[in-house]
Parts: sequence; C-alpha cells; structure tokens
Amino acid sequence: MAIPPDIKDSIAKVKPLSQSAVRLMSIMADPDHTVAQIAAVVESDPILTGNVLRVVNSPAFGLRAKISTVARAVSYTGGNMVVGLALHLCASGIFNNPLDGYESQRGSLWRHCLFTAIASREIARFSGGKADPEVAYTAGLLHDIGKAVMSAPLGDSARKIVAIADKGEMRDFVAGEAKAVGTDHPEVGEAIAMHWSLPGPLREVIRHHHAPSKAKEEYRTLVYAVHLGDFIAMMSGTGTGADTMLYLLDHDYRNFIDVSAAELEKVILDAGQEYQQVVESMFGSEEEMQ
Amino acid sequence: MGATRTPGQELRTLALGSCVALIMMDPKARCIAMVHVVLPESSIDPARSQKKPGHFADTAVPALLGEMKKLGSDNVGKGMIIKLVGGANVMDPNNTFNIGKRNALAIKKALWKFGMGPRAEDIGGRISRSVSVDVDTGKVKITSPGRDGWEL
Repeated sequence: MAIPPDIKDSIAKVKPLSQSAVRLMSIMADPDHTVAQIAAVVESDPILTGNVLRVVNSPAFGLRAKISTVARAVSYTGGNMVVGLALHLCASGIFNNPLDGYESQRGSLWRHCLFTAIASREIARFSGGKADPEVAYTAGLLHDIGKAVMSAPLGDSARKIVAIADKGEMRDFVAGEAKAVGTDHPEVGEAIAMHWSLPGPLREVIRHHHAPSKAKEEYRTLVYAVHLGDFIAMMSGTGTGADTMLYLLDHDYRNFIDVSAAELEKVILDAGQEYQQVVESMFGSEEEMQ
Repeated sequence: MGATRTPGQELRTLALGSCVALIMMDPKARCIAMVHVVLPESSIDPARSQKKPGHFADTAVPALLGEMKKLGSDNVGKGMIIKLVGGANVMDPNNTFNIGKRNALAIKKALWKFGMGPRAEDIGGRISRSVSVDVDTGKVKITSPGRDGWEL
C-alpha cells in the first residue's frame, strides 16, 4: 500500500512535537533514567511545569500537603504521567479533536490512548523482561496517532465498514480502512512517527500494533504488549469510536506474553483504577467517572 | 450501580466493552436497577468487592437485589424481569481474553442461585454497547458508535 498524496499532505502539516516531549521520551527510553532528569526537562518548560503541579495537587491525587516543587511533583506523578502531559499539551490537535470518521467524540482518542498506555505497561511486566514497561506506556500513548489524520478521508465510511464487519464479511477495521481510503491508520501513524522522528521501537509499535507478528524481531514483544493493551482498553469500554472491538487478537501473543486469565483480570482492575485517577487529575471528575 | 422508582428517570451506562449491564425491573413495585459488571468473580480481589460489589458478577447480583429491595421490591424470583446487555467478545482460543463471555455466564450462574434468569439478552459479538433503561416504560435502549440504535 502507498499513502495517497492528499493524506501525505495532511501528514506533512501535522505540528511538530515540543522539545520537552521529545526529550522526555528519550529519557524514559533509558532504563536507568532518574527523576532528576525528568524534573530538569519540566523545569525548563513553564507550561508543562504548571500542568504537572496542577495535576499533582488535584483532589484525585489525594495528597494532604500542597506540592510546590517540580522535583517532588515528579516523584509523585512518575515519569510516565509527565510524558503523557507533555504529549497532551503539544499534540492536542492529534489527541483531542473529535474524529468524525470514527464517530468519535472530542477527547476519546486521548482517553483510549491513555488506557492503552497504562494497560500496555502492566502487560509488559509479563514479558520476562523483553519489553520495557515504561517504553510500552509511551508506545501505548502514541499507537493510534494515525487515526487523527485518517478521520477526514474516512468520511462516512465507518458506518459501511461496521455494517460489513458485523455481517462477518470484513476481517477487521484496518482492512475496512484500506478498502475505503487506500491506506490504514497504522500506516498513516508510521508516517506521522517518521515526520516526528520518533525512535525505532515507537515506530514499530505504531506500524504493527494490529499485526504484531510482522514487527522487527527485536521489538516484537513490545509490539505484542501494546497489541494486548489496546484490547484491554477496548474491552474496558475505552475504545476510540465505531472501530471499537472490530480488530483481531493475534493468538500467538502467548509466545511473547505469559499472562494467565486471573492475572489479566487484575490488570483490567488496576489499569481501570489508575486510568480514572489520571483522567480525574487532568480534567476533574466527570459524569462517566461517578 | 444505580436504582430508581422516580417517574421520568432513566438509568444509563456507557461503553460496556466486555463488561455486562445487569438490569432488573419489578413491574409491581415499578422500580428498576442496573449494574455495570466488569469481571466474573470477586475472588480475584475480595477487598475491592467489599467496596465495589457491582464490579463482580457473583457479588453484583445480591447487591443489585439489595438496591431493589430498598425501593420496595420483594419480588425475588420469577416476577423480576431481568435483562443482560454487553459482554463483547474477543476471539481467544486460550480463553484468557474471553471475559465478555465469562461475565455473562457468571451472572447467569449467580442469578440461578436466586431462582432467576434473564428474560432477554443482547450479549456477545464485536460490539461495544451503551445502554439506557426507562423507569416508566421499562424500555431498554442500546446504542453503539457506527450503528443505528436498537431496543431490547
């Protein structure tokens, strides 16, 4: 498949990531990173500093004393959440626009990516050390960025794709995208990843999260972790829109991720609880959170 | 988990995924209740089931009956109208990810203990459903993005 020229134009127009987001992602990719390194990036970015302090002092965090220094704030939120806040700030056009092509409401893509990130990080812990949980989190945040650009060319095709898939005549939503538009959200996502110069492991996840067996061997376990994290988010009711659940689970996951039914259920409970806490700390409590 | 007998009200639950909405309606006491069940068995996390009995099929059934009783329903048994919605499926031969199917089965098992069973169900498939129940009409409306809504 080649990406049609008009979609290539849209990808070229995607705003670059902030320096803070890029630096935070590269720090998090190093397993030996320290809180001080993360705090240093936050301190050099006043808007990010404001966001980190607002979140850590939100009622959802439940801290008794007010936190006023970045270093202490980061020690409470953890690096993952800081990366999430940095991406949410600089790529809000990607994450927060309503995606009409997916019949998805404002903010739904962000919520789906956030849930996927948390679940992918937890699933990566069952990979026998082959997938780094922190990288799985960042990869989960970014896995579906292609949908932001695919939404417009999809137009009103989602309804047709869903109708055909419901009859069992379409393998999955990715196949539907390819048929309707000539490309799909993983391929478009990979092009955005190149446009952003994202590191190799993140690009592999974005490209292959619906076909993990095709990922490069060195990153395959990581891609399987996010593949499963994506399903956990959808099963937990936090999909993107019309495409929710219309994907195929790669049964070979068990060769990469050794998770039992009981362990998976714990992941679902814990990820759901953490997701609610993060959403409430970012946006305040909402109707669906009650 | 919610319950009401106030005319004009409805109960809603959003985006079920593999979770199952268990709905109870008592036409005599004119009250309804609904709970969003996440997992089949509370033994996975007994502490959480104390705080959130509705999360687990086995503790959700007695908890929801308790809510109905508070609203004046003593209709345990065949008089209670029960409906199940949700439980979307992931095909997994390892059975690890088939939580939607296991949720629905666990709720039915828990209902049998009280001599009850669902009168209607809309479960399974690759569909993430949202559901609302109207206390006046008892109508159960289901929506899902990319599809026209339907009733159960």
